[in-house]
Amino acid sequence: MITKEIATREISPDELLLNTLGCAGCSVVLAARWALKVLGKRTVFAVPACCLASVTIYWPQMAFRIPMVSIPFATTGAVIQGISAAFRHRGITDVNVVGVAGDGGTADIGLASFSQALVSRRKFIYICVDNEAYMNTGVQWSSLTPYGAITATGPVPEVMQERDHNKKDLFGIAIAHNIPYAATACTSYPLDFMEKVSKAANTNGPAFIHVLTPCPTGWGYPEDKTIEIGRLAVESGMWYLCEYQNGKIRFTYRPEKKVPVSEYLSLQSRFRRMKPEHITQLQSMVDKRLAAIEALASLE
Amino acid sequence: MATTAKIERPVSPGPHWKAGDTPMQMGSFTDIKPVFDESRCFSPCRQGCPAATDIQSFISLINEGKHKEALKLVKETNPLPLVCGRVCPAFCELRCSRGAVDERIAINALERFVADYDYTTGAPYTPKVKPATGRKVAIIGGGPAGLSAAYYLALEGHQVTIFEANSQLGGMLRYGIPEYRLPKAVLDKEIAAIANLCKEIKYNASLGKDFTIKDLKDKGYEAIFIGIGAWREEKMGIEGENLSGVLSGVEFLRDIAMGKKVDLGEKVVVVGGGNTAIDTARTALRLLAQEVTILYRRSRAEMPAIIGEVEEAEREGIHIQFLAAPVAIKAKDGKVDSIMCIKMRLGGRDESGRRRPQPIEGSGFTLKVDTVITAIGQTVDTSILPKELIDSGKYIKVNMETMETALGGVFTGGDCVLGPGTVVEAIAAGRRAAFSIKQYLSGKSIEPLMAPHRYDKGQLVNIVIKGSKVKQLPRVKISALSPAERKKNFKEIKSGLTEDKAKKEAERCLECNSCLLCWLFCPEGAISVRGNDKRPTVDRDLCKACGICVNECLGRAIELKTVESAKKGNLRKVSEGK
Amino acid sequence: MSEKKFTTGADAVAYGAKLARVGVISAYPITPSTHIVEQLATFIANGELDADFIKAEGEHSAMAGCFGACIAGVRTFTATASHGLAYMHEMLSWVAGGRFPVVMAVANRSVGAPWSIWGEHQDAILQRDTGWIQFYVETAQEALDTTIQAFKIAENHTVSTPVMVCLDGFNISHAEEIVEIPDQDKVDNFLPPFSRSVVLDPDNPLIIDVGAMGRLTGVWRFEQIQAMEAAKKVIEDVDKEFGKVFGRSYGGLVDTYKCEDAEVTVVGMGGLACGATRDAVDSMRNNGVRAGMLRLRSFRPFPNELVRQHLAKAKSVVVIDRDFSYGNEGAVYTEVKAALYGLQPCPSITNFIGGLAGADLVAQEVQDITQKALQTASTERTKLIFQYTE
Repeated sequence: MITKEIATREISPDELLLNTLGCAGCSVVLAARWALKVLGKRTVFAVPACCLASVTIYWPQMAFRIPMVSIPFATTGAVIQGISAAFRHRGITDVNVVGVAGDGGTADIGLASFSQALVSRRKFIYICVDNEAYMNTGVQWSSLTPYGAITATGPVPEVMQERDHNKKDLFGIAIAHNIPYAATACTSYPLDFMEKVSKAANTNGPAFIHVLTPCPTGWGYPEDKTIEIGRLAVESGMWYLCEYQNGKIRFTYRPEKKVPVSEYLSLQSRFRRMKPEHITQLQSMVDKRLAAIEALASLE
Repeated sequence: MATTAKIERPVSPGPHWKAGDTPMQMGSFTDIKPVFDESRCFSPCRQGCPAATDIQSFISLINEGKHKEALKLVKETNPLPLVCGRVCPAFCELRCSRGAVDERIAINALERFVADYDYTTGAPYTPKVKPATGRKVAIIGGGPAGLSAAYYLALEGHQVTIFEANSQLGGMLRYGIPEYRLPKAVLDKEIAAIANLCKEIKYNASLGKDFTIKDLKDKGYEAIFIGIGAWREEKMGIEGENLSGVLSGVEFLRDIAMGKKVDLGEKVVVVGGGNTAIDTARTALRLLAQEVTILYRRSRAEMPAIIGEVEEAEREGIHIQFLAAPVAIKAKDGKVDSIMCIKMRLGGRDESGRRRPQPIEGSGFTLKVDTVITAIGQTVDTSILPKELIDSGKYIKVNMETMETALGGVFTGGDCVLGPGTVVEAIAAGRRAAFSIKQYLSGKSIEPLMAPHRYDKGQLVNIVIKGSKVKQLPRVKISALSPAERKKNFKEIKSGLTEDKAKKEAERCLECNSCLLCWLFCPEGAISVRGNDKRPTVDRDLCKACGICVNECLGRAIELKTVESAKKGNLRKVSEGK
Repeated sequence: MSEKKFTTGADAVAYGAKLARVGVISAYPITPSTHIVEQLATFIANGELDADFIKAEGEHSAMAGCFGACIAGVRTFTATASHGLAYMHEMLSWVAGGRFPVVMAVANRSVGAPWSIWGEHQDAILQRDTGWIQFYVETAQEALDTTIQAFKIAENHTVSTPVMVCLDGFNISHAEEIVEIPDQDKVDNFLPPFSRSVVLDPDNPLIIDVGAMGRLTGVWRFEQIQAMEAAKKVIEDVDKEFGKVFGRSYGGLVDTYKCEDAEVTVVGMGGLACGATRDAVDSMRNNGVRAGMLRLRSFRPFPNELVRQHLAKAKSVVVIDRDFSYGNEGAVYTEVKAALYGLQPCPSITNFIGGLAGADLVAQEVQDITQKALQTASTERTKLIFQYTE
């Protein structure tokens, strides 16, 4: 403890997202709130069908205090390209262009436009708020749903087709585009996330942040545990806090303790169907993925 | 629901609206709201302090020129500010939110200032003592834990006797921490103030040798505090460990403190990475040793010693060899001649979360050495303790909040519970124990002094709400002797602050009043920090009672309760007509 | 200075967009529209057009990119056809419902299956309910001129509706004509710089595209309907004004040829159908048949009143459909028939479905069908004729 550095930050008091229709304990709203504290008023948000849009664009409750546009599900990457190009054309350089999409809107239906946006090299921030299913419409499976989680379209995970799939490697996909900045984050590590938003805003090109946003409604835990669950995700290796910049990957935070995934799973009812052999398999997948990232991070 | 009234459309053409137009109060669906207990809501510095010293307030008093009141406030939680102001690693400073603006406040130096200043006034502060109760309490061990427990119990009017195994009080303060960090003259002043409050000090009285716990109870001591520390050096377990010329760090420091002469020769190797190793190495350097090397088996990042101490050691010319461990000590003519070592690499993490050092095949090397001093860890001498007290053979088993042990009426705290730790942790433990003993003696069931703040919350962060009024100001410079000036003497290295400098530094305090984590973690932005006292308040119209603030509050200061005045169902109806 | 060029319809459209000073083009290639955006890319590359070109990965994203540019305050344009137009179907509703003035050229082409790259109106007809204004032009010149007009119509504050400029795939897009490229200064005078009230602007933060249940959405839909209605007059006015400035106009919502005293009138859209029809009309007139042509320039908004007005006195009407609404009849036929509802007396109305998948429509064919329709006007009140049944 004596030698540990503590992350510090001055944070704006401005609340640019207030009074949403979100669930109590919603970390998607929290992530957006924090991002806006870093980005400030001169920011525009483009948000497709996802929880964040659903809780902020239904009349009469207009919770965003910055310009925001709700857009069709698959289009985030394309719309922010359009906005970015238009601002550039108009000589507007001091407005952050931010697309905030869920796991479905980024990795599934939105994957093509996401990819093309990264390729375009235009200046924008793309934040994927990952609650690991299509929560907004009732917890349907997405390609970022972890192995073994119950979803409405996969109510019996062990008989589903996606046998040994655990969360598409979106960070890897982003990096494969050689963009100037990409990062993974979690709403249980606020300063780590805010620092990444800040770096993204200062990137002269596409910047991608994949933030894990635990969801009490869809994951099945009491809403006051949202921050704790996210911590356990990172401490168990189910999620990791990394950064990709100038072609190099590094961990931005490593938890002090390592916790077996079973501890993380046992707190969420979406994992209640997992038997010991599934947990073992998941532990093995998690260990392998972490080892792979560690190997990449140690490359010179 | 047919109506004829027009729905006001502020934006045209198209299905668009003005941002920020939120007629519904989303928190009004529940009348459960968080309620704050201000007595548990601390500024981050206070949260970081194991003794929970009200740092913000004492700094504020310095600002006002009320140095004596400041000292009085410090002594409410810490009776050894002369000591701590010199040797504490200052957990408070790590948490200081000023660090988010420019540089952290030099809190440690300010503590030293009020303590030093008190003695310059000619009339040092003496605490009020309650009327004598006649109840006898035995303190075993006159180190910081015991001294702290003794102080607080004495103030309650109880009759305190300290049983000290050495010939002087102080424990590690005297026999562990070297002169250049904590001059004995200073230590003596502070100890005297405490000793004067006690009924009696029995020197050269060792538990297990001169008396037992049962003896004390038979003699009418109704409560006992055990603060015997951790003095047993851990063995390296390598060949040659018992040769002449291989010393124990703890014993070496003790001998030096007692004024004994120790011949080290020219080349000294110290094995270990904690504060004892650093103190040992820096002491050895001053004793005419030409060359002092520290061997540590992990890397710099894992070293448990205070960073500042490590840096000073290197500045003084001590060489630290990281990722190296001794394998065998070789003798020549019956005396230590060389030490065979091997380089290490860090492998996977062990249960403690630290990376396991693994020897690198074929990387052995040899150092010529005259004296090897081991400082790889200390344990408690459990052989002198009743079996019931011991936990898995290593330390005393304790309830960390009440400081109760398995034996009724027996309390404990400090290194004998946690292993080698810091002075301030021991002091805090002594105070918690004193609080428990007070209740125990009055026949009450024991409520802990204060449930400790939570540090199991993953990554600690420090935040400051950006305000326009704070000007960037540098941290006060603390003068210290240069490495050249320190050569071969034990003069106190760091100086204290002048009153002027102390006041200037105190002005930099942001007066946080709270750590703001509830404000940070609220998804609704329902918590705000308003007003001069900057305490968190909740906007009941926005709060959905999720309870995240309750869970994240390090001080456990928040509770969800049904609040009568929070209107339920207060959804403002958006008018669609008459 | 205006100049004359021998150029394709696709290039003509590109010139139109260039002259309109579009700022962002977001596009995906698809035959036969590709040359439009290729030409625009060339204009950008050689500095003739100051614009950003977004190379989308698909047409749905192409339209989304246009949408993003539009709400960020820049005049935007794209071009597509066939499957591409189908792929962006969702976005068409989105852009129209949000009342955004995007302009798009569609080089009309068949939609599979079966696989066909060739001309037909099915692609744009499929999108007739999305809320876009639809023009069907007859020539490359009209394609260029209508593209310029389209921006003025779309951006009119009483309209604020996106516009689709449809040109026959291959027949217009790839055929070369002599086209006058108007003078840039004149276009600048005619078409003022892009400016809108609904933009992403931190100084006036708006929530764009909100959702509302029931009545409020109903109100917004009604406004959309009213805007389409208002567009009718705006289309007429803009075409008239264009005529005054540039010396060319196209009749506004409809273009007529020898319609006034016609006993049989052929209704068609686009260059293939109407070009053949003009020749057929002339030939029939030479044979003593009072034939005429009503060209629907604007299919959306559908010019009900004008259709009724121009067809009321005919004994017979032939509607050429280069499309079909499977399960019923040709789409244009249905709408023309509906426009004539209640007329006493009412002309007979024949639907000729032809020119599908690039099949040629020749004057003789049109003439034969039209003369037959006139002959059987009193006995065959409605009839469907297919160009190919075997």
